[in-house]
Amino acid sequence: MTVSLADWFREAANWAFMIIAIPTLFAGWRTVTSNNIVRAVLYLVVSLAGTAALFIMLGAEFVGWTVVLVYIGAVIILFLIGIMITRAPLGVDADLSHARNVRTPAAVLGVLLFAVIGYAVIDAFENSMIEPFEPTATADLANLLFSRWVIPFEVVSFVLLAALIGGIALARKDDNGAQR
Amino acid sequence: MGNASYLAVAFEGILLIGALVVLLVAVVAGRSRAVWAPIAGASFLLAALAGVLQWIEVENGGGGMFFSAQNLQVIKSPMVVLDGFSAMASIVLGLVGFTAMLGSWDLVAKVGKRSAEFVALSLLAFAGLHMMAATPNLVVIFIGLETASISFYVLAGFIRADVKSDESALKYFLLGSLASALFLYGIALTFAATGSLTIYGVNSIRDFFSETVVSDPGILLVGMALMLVGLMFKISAAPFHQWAPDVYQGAPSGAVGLMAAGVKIAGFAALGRIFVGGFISQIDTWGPIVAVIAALSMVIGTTMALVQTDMKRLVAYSGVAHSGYLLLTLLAGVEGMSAMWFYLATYPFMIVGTFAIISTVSGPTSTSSPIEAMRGLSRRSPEMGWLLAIFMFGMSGMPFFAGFVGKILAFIAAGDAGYIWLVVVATLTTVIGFAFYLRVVATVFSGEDDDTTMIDPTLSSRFAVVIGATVTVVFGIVPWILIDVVRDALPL
Amino acid sequence: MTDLLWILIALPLTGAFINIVFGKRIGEPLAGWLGFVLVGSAWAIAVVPTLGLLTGSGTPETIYLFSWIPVVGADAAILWDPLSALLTMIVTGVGALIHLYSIGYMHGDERFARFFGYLNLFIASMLILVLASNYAVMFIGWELVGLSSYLLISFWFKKPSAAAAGKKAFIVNRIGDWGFLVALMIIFASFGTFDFGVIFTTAPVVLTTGAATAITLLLFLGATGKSAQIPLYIWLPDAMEGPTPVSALIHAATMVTAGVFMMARSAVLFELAPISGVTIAVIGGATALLAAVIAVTQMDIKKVLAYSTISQLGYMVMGVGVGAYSAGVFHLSTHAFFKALLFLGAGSVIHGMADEQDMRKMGGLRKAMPVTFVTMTVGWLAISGIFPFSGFWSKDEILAATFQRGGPWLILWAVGILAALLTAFYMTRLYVLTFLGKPRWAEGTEPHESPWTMTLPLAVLAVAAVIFGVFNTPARLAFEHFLEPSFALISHAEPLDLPLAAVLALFALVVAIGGIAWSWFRYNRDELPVEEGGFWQRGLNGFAVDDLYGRVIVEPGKKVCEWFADSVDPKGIDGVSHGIAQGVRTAGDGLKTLQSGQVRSYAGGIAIGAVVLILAVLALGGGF
Repeated sequence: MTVSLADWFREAANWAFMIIAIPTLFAGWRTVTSNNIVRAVLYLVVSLAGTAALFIMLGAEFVGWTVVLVYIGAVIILFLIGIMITRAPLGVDADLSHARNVRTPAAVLGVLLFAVIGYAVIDAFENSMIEPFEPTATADLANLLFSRWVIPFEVVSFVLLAALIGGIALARKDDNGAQR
Repeated sequence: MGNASYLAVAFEGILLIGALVVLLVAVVAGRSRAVWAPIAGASFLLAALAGVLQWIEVENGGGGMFFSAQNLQVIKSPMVVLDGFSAMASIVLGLVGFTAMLGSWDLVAKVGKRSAEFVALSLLAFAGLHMMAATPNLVVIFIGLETASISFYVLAGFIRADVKSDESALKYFLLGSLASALFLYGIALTFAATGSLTIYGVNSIRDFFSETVVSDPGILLVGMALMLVGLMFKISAAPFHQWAPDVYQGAPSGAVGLMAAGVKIAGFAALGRIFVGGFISQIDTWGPIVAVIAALSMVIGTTMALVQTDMKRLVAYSGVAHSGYLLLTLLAGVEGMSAMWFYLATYPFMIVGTFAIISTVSGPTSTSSPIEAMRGLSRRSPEMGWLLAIFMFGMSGMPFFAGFVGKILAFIAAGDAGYIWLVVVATLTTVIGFAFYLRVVATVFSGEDDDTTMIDPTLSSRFAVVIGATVTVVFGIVPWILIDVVRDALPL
Repeated sequence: MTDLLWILIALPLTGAFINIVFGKRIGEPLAGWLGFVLVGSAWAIAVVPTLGLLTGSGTPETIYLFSWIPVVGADAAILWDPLSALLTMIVTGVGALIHLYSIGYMHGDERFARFFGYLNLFIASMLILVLASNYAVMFIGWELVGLSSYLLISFWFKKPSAAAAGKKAFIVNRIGDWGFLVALMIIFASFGTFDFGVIFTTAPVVLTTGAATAITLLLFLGATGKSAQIPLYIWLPDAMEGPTPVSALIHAATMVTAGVFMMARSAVLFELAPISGVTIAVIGGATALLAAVIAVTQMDIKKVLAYSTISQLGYMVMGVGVGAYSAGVFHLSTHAFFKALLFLGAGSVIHGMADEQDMRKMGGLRKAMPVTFVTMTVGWLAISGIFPFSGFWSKDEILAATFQRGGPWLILWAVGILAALLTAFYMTRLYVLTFLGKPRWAEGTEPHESPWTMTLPLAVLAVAAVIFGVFNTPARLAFEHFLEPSFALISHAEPLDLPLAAVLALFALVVAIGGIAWSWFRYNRDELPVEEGGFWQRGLNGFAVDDLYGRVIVEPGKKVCEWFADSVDPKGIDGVSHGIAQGVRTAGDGLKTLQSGQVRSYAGGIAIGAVVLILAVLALGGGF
């Protein structure tokens, strides 16, 4: 089943998608280009919120709220606190703007990577419609997580443990002084 | 859930318990290194022993897939696989881990309070590495990869006081995260294309290939390509190798052997599992690309190694070239796996031994190790000098050392797969490679007589080096012992 | 009896181990005697089975030792046939004599024991090479021989020229080894095994002419490295920086013949590739002539002998090229004796003249060093090809085989004759300038005869140089019959008619005498001829071949390498330290470098690689 352009515009969800997607994209763009580090972080918040909204639109309610809670709620706050308690410059930082000779190839490369992957994805699905399905309930997700995916779930604790130990190891001071 | 399923995860279980015990002991019984040395050693050895038991179980037909959700009698998405491949990975990783830990012990002794963390991280990292070899599930491979990577990022930056170590860790972290992201994206696209995350079992990727005519493969191919990029980064194959020399050099000498050897084994195990196990029907697509990457790695690794002045960078670039040789084995598909395991069961010991010597000569916390520092080593510490020569001969592929046999087997694998041009390139780089390996040997055996600052290696690094050299020599002279064993180290 | 042949290899290997590891404790001269006795007993052990083959009571056989890499047909086994027996006798026999000689020559060297360790290692490697029963083991011997020769050339590594010479020999030989290795890979791809027996019996069926040509030309490339032929001969003159016994043992008698031996062993393959035969013969002839011309102009006594070796090796290679394998091997054997003799004689002279090597500062040594003088006379006549010394018979046989092919091969024969004339000329020049005429010694030099450990080997070798030739005369081809089992699988040309052979031999003899006479009258005068013109100067530099290689290959190679290092890895060589040093200097903050380039460019590299890889996968997998 294929959809025509006119059909596409008639669908309200598509309008909602555009309304969310365009600011998200813009915020992502500003995150990379902003000269002010605090502003960059705030743009990142917008971008992440947009992503969360898209997830919710897709029916992945749990993932959407996880993004809000973990990324916006925790990670970004850590970023900001980190910036404020260290002596990082709060205003415009000239070092943050990339030289033009770096900017151009980076942009070309980014576009190229996007084009290649985008081409493959569009080529695979074309404009065929994917059967709509029920939004995933958080309870179902939990059931899956603790039955089929219990091993990966347990294994993720390895990663967290390693990250925790790593954080401690890097943060604490040696008792017998620094080695050179 | 029989006993076999516990055996299948025994390696990870033992190392995890080891790590937790080390941490607990550190809290409860104070921080005495004397306590966790035996814990770490025993964990690795027990893990290797578990590997042997796994091997026996597989030989007796007890292998298979475990931890699947049983839904209407259909085995779906198994999470752990027990076969010759994973059992061999247990044995090799356990023994290499043990040896590498011995080689790192000088560093552990130096980092004082934080030594418990070092040991625990190493144990966790190896558990993660083995997961990459012992699971048919792409997501679990990714989690294993991250467990190991995060631990190794920290180990690379363990010497906080040294800005080079910091730089090394941060560089490794940033680039490694990029590679991990690409790998994860590859998994996602593969899932989108095949509807499956498992390599074996019902509704697996392999089933998908055998049942479906892939008419529009674009997204699958991109997924495959991105997974390749991610793993090629981890094994530091050219052109994704640039991090390796910098990270090896910047990381404390005592920790590099552990990282370099472990990542190499698991990276190739994962490549074998995913591409030979799952994507074998697509070998005509990824084969030529792996061949080109192999050629690039051999040429760039060898050429760059020629101009290095730092021992650690030299070994890093030689590692790039060795990744190239190892990639040859993938080209032969399942037939190449035994050659790959022969290589992986010998070469990592040479890495570990070499870095144990570097750590002895330049100090375990050192972040640079000029080749000149090796001058006259044969007099300053005869055993270290001679054994370093053995490692260099082994890596260069000199006959009667394990490296030679490994290379020959790899060349033959590539030749059987029809890549004669690649074999020609490989022989050429091997021959050129002699130049820089022997330059190190020449440096070791030269120098003025008055330079007599003796070096007294510690007992642990002595052990590490001797174990490494024994493997290098024994499997060079009597390789068929190992060849007979690795013949069964095949993925399901 | 033959079951115990592995002892041959084990003996020198033990010696190498003991002398290298415990050498300092054993000390001088015990270490030397140990080395000599071990190699000597290896020779003695080899005598009986060799006699067995000679008398016909023993047969060629393969003695299986242990399985090494069975998958590829590479087992440790000894192939005992006339060819390997002959080479074993030469390697251990000449080797033992040179060990004995070295005890005197290396007297007082601080690394005396180490030297004998290396020599023993060399003998063991050479035996592995000649006794191998498959290409894989042969390659091992080949590499070990290369390694020990590298160690021995740069033995006096504190002398920069010696270290440089070792390096040069090493690098040049790598090129040849590469050819050998690729040839082995093609052999394995074609036959699925490295085993000689299988390869040689099935070769005519399995190999196409094209494959055979590729294999043999690559094998020949290997041989040009070890056996110092055009274009890879340049390492050998420099290798004279090593101690003189090394020059005698390795760079005259044994190692350089490895290439010829390897080709003779692979005779079956060469038979299948006529084009390779022509190439090899032409290169051999050209090498023989070029090296002889250069030898005429040299002033350093050892350099003359070095170029002479290259020239004589050219003869052997020519013999292989024209299909006269036994003639090539025969010349190899006689040359081993008389060239070792000449080198040891030269060593004795250098020893007696307090390390003087310039022939212009010698002269009149005949009285001061009588034994050396007499034995050198034998060597001189043998290499010049004077009847009935051994060189006469062996050189003549190669020339006769070339002549027999007729047609354009006659040009090659003429080249060989010309080289023979020059050989007689430069050897007489060496002989006259060194031993005859008035002394032209530097002040304070008091030449003296060398100790008995040095003169005894000279005497033994002289006897061998005289009599060995009569084993194989056109009238009585005993040597050829002896080698027959080794070349059983190839067709043999009919031997030349006796009258024609005699005429050819006589002609060669006349040429040799002419060369001697010309040189004799030119140099045996009070006033030495001035040799400073363009030809002499250029010849002395070896016609600037080294420079040419330097300009055409080495310099561009370096450029490419540098370019490669710069562009592939911008901060490759000392990346971290550079980046860090700058970072620390500018901001006191190492992480600064992270922002100013490297990580970003590395990540860019990964991204570029990813894009290219995706495109490649899409193209190959039909994603477009």
